[in-house]
Amino acid sequence: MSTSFPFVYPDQFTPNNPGWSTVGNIASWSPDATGRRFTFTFGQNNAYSLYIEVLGATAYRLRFTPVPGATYTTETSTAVVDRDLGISGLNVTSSQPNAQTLQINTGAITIQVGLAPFYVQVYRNGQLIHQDAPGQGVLYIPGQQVIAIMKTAPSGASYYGLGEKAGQDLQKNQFTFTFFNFDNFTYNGPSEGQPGPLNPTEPLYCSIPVLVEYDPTPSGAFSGSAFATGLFLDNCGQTFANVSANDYSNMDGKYYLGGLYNELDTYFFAGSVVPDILRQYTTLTGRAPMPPRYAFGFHQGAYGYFDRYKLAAAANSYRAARIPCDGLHIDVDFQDNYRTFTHSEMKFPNTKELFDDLHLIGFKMSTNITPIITTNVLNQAGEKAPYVQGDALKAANALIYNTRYESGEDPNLYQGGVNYGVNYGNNPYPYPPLQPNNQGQTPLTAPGNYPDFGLTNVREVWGQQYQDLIQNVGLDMIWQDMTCPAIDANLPPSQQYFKTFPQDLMMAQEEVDPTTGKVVATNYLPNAQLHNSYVNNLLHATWDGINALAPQRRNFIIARGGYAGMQRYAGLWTGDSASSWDFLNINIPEVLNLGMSGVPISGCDIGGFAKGSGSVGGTSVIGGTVVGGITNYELFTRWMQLGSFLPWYRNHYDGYNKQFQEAFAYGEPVPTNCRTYVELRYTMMQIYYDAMFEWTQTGLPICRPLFLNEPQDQGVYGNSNYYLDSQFFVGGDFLVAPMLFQAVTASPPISPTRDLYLPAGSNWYAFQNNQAPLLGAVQGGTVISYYADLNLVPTYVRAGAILPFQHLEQWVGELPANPLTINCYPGPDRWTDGQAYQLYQDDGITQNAETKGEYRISRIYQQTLTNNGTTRQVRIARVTDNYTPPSPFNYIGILGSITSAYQVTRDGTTLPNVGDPDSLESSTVDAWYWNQSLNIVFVKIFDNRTDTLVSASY
Amino acid sequence: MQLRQNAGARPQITFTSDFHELVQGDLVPGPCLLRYDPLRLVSLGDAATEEHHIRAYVRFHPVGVEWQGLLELPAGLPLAELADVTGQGFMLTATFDIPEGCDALELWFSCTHDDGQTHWDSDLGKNHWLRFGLADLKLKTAKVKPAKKTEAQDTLAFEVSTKPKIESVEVRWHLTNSPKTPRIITPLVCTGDTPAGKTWTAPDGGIPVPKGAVVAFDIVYNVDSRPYTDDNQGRWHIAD
Repeated sequence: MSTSFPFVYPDQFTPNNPGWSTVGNIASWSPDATGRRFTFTFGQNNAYSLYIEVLGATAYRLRFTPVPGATYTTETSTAVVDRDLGISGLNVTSSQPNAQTLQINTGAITIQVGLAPFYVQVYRNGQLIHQDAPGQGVLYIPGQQVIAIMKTAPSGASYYGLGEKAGQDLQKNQFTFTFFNFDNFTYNGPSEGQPGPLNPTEPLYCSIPVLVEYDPTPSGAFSGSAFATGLFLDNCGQTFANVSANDYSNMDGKYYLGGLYNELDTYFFAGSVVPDILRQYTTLTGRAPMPPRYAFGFHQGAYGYFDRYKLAAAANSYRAARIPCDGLHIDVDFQDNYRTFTHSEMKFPNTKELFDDLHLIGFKMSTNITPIITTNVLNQAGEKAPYVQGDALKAANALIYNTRYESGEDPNLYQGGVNYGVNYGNNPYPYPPLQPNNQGQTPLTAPGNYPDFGLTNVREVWGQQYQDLIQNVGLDMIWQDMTCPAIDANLPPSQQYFKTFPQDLMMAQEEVDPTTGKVVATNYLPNAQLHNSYVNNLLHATWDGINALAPQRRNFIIARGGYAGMQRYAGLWTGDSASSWDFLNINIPEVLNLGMSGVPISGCDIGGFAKGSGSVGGTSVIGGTVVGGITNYELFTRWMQLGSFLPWYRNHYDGYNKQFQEAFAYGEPVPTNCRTYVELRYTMMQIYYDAMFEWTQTGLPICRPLFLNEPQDQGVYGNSNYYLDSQFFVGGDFLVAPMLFQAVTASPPISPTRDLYLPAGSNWYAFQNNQAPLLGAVQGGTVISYYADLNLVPTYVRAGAILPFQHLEQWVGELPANPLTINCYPGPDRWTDGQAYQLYQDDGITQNAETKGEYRISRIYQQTLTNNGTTRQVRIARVTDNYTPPSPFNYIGILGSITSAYQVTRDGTTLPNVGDPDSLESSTVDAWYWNQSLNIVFVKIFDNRTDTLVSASY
Repeated sequence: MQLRQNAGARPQITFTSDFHELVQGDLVPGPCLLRYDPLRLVSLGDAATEEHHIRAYVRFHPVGVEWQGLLELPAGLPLAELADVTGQGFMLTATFDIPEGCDALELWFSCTHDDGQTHWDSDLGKNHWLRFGLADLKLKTAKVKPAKKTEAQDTLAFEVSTKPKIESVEVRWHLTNSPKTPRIITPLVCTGDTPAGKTWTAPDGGIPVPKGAVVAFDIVYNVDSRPYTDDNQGRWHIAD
C-alpha cells in the first residue's frame, strides 16, 4: 500500500522531539588499514556501528546504517563519483588525549570525537568551526529507518545551498525544507502554510540536500577567523532540513538534516570561504565537461509549437526581429501521439529538411523526452502501428513491474500515465483515440510504462532509443521533462501518489563494489527509498546514450529535475513557473542557491510557463487560435532582462493557455527593450563561457551572490538582506541589480527606482557597454538609488576589471570569426597570475577540447605605471595553447582614456594610430586609435604571439 | 482484448470543472477518493473574495446508507488561492468508504456562499448517479474480423457480458484511422439472459466496417433507465 510510505510534511519529521536515540557511549573504535577510516561500535550488544572516514585535508564522511550488523562494503549513491578530496600525501594521525576523546588530525582540521557519549566537533587551527548539537548529534529510532544529524548553528552563521528551493530569500536561516522530487505546477504544492513561490517549505522538482554555512564574524564558542562549512546528506529517499526554524520545536541555535529511510550518509567540508566548500562538494559529486557554447545563448520554447508552421513562424520572426536566439524547444507536440522518442511527420512534414533549414539560420533544436513508454497501441493516424522504441524497451525487459512492497511479484507492468493538459480546440491534430468532449475540449493524456533506470542495461537501452532523433532527424539537445517522474494526478491512488510513482512500487538499485566499481548486487526497493535518484539515473541514461550516438559533438540536456550530482549530465530549469512578480522575485535566490549546490547552469522559464497573477485577461480559443492570457509587458520585459544575466536563458510558455510570449510578438517598446539585453548576452558570451570553464575547474558558479565574491564585506547583508537577495555577479566583476517590482503598470504607477549596494573594497563604474564614456568611479560601500526605466537594468563593473566582449551575433557561430574586445577598466592593477583574467577558448561545439585537449587558456593582466606620465599596460599570455581561434586578431579596449595616448606599443614596437574605427577595422597590421567620444583607446592586435604586452602611454 | 485500465484498483471519483464525472478504479468496498473541482460551484471571481465550504453527499445503493462530509481544503487556505481555471486546476478531496453490497452511488454537493445562499451541484435535482463499468460489464469480444477476399468489408464483432440488472447496452464507436468518419452508436442485442447475467452481441453477427478499420469505442448501458458510460477509465476501448 502506498500509504505505508506517506509523504511527510517538514513539521511532521521531528528529530528535535523526544523519542529519538543518540549514539551514546562508544564500546570500541578502530582505524582501518588506510588509517583514514575509524569505525565505532555501540548500542545493545555493540551491534550498531558507524564510521568516520577522512576524504581530504578538510573533508570527512560520517556513515551510519541504523540497523545492527551493518557492513559498509558497498556503495549505491547516484550522487557521489569521487571520494578522493585530496587523499594523496595526506597524513592522518589520531590520538586519545583522554579516555573519552579521540582526535583525528588531518593537518588542516582536527575531528574531535567524543566517546562517552559520542559527539563530533571540528577544529581548524584550534578554532571550533563545527559541532554536533550537544546531547543530540547522530539521531535515529531503533527498529525504524529514520535518521537525522543535529548540529549547532553558530549565532552569526548564514546558510545557503539546499538546491532548488522556493522563497525570495537567498539565506535559508529560519526555514524548514523537504526534498522529494515533485511535479509542483506553479509551486502550489504541499507546504507548511500558504503554498506559492514564496514558500520554501514545498518540495520541488530537484532535490539536493547540501547545506552550505558561512560565518563571516564568528563569535562565542566559534570565535576566530571567518569560516565556511558544508554538510551533504546523500540520501535519495524523502529528506529534510531545518535551519533554526521553530515550526514544531525550539530549534534556536541548531540545524539538522535527516531522512525517512536509508542510511545517514553525510559528507562534511571545511574551508575559509564558501568557494572552498563548493570545490570539495563538486569534486565529490562531479563536474561536467564544457557544454556547447550555444547553451549560453537565448532559447525559446513553447508548449504549442505543434506543427512546422508554428515553429517556423517563431524561428523566422526571431530572425526578422533581429533578436538573437539559439535554441528552439518543441514540446511533446513534436511526437507521434505521445510516443516518446518519435517525431510526427504529420505535424512536422519533412522534419529533417525543416531542421536542416533551421540549422542553416543558426537554430539548435530540442524536444521533450519524458520517461514514459505509452501503452496506447495507436499512432497519430489511428493505426495500430509498431512503436519501435517502446518495443525495444519492452523486449529488453526494461520496464517496471507492478510489484508492490511485500506483496509478492506481479507479472504485469506498472501502468501510470501523463497529463499534458487540455486542447481547447487550438491544436487541430489527432491524438487517437482521444476525442473532444461536447465542449470541444480534449484532455491530453497518455497511459504508459516506465523504465527501471536503476539497472545498467536499462540505461543503455534507453540511451539507444535516441538514435532516430539524433542521427536521422538532427536533434541537437534534449529537454528532459517529467523527471520525478510526473504521473497524471487524475489516476487512482493505487497508480500515483503525490503525482509520481506510488511509494510502494518496487524498483531496482545496484550495489557497487567501491574498489572495483563493479555491480555486485541488485536490490529491489520501494520508490519511497529511491525516489529522488530516479531522475539521476534517467539523466545518466540519456547522457551516455546521446554521447554514444553523437560522439563528435558536445551534447546538452536541460532537465526539469535532479538529485545531487545531476550537474554531471544536465542543466536545470526550475519547473512550471507562473507569470507573476513573485516568480520573478524568487528567480535570483533560486538560481544562486542552485549554484551553491553544485549546479552551474540553471534558470527559470522566462515570462512564466503558466498563467499567473501577472497575466492579462482570460484566455479563449477563437477560430482555432488561443487569444489572451498574455504576460504583462512590464513583467515580461523585466524577466527577459534578468534572464539575460542568468546561466540558462530560455523563454518558455504554455501556448495552449497563452496567446504568445515571444518578445517579437509584443508591441514596441517591448521588443526593443528585450533585444537590448539579449544582444548584451551575446556580446558578453565569452564571460559566461569563461565562468563556466572556471566552474569545471573549481566548482565556483557562473552567477554568484554578493558575499561569494565579497566575503569580507558586511555591507552586502544590509537593508535586511535586500541587496543579497536582489543583486548578483556574473563572474567576478560584473554586478547586476535587476528591477524586480511592478512600477509603470502598477496602480497607481510608482517610480522604477531601486536601491543597490556597491560592495566595499572596490570602486565601481556604471556599465556603459562602450556606448558612452565612463562616468566617475563610485566608491564601494555606497548605496545608490537607481532610476531604471524599462530600457535599463542597473549594472556596474568593478574598477580594474578585465572583461572580454565580442561582436554581436544573431546566434552562436553566426560570424565565422568573431574577434574579442578585451575591455580593461581603470583601477587597481591585476598583474599577478591570481589577479589576471582567465580566458578560455575552444571551438565551442566539438569534443576536441575534452578528448584532444584542443583549447587555449590565456591570462590577461593589466597594470598602470605612473613614472614619466601614465602608462596602461595589458599583457596576454597563453597558458595552454592547443587551439587557434578563427579570428586572426582581437581588440583591446583601454577604458578611461580621457586623453589620447601619445604612443601605443606592442612588445616594444610602436603601433600606428589609424585615427578612426573604420581604419582600425580594416587595418592589416597591429594598430590603434583613440575614441574621443568614448574615452577609450582601442588597440587591434593580431593573434600571433604566445605572450604579448601592449602599452599605452599618456 | 487489451487489459482493461485499473481493474482491481482502489476507486476514485472525479468531478471536473467542465462538468464531467469520472469513475476510475474498480468497485472495491472500502476507501474511495472523491475529488471535486470547486469551480463547479464557485466562480473564479467569487473564489477570489470569499471563503467557501463545499459539502458532499453520497447515498449508496442498494444498501441505502448515506455519507456526507466537508471537502477538504489544505489547512488555513482560502479557496481563492487555489482555484485556477488554467493549467491543472485544483481538486478538493474527501475519502469515504464504499460499503459491501453497494453497486451504485448517488452524489450531490452544496456550497453556502457569503450571501447566505446555498448553491447545489445535483444534475439539476436528479443527483449524479455513478456505477463502475468494471463491475458491471465484461468485454468478451471486441474485434475487427478481417474480410474474406471476396468480401468488401471487415466485420466488427462484440460480445459483452453484464450483470442481470443491465437493461440495455450500446457501443459508441469510431474509426481512429478515418477520423472524419462520424461516431456511430450501435445497440447490442441481448442474446443470453440467465440469473447469472446477460450476454450482448452485435446485431446481425457483426457490424460492417471498412477494411483495415481500427475501432475505438465506449459503452453506454442502462440500469433503472439511467444511462452509465464505460469508457475504459477515460482511455477508450480499442477493438482487437
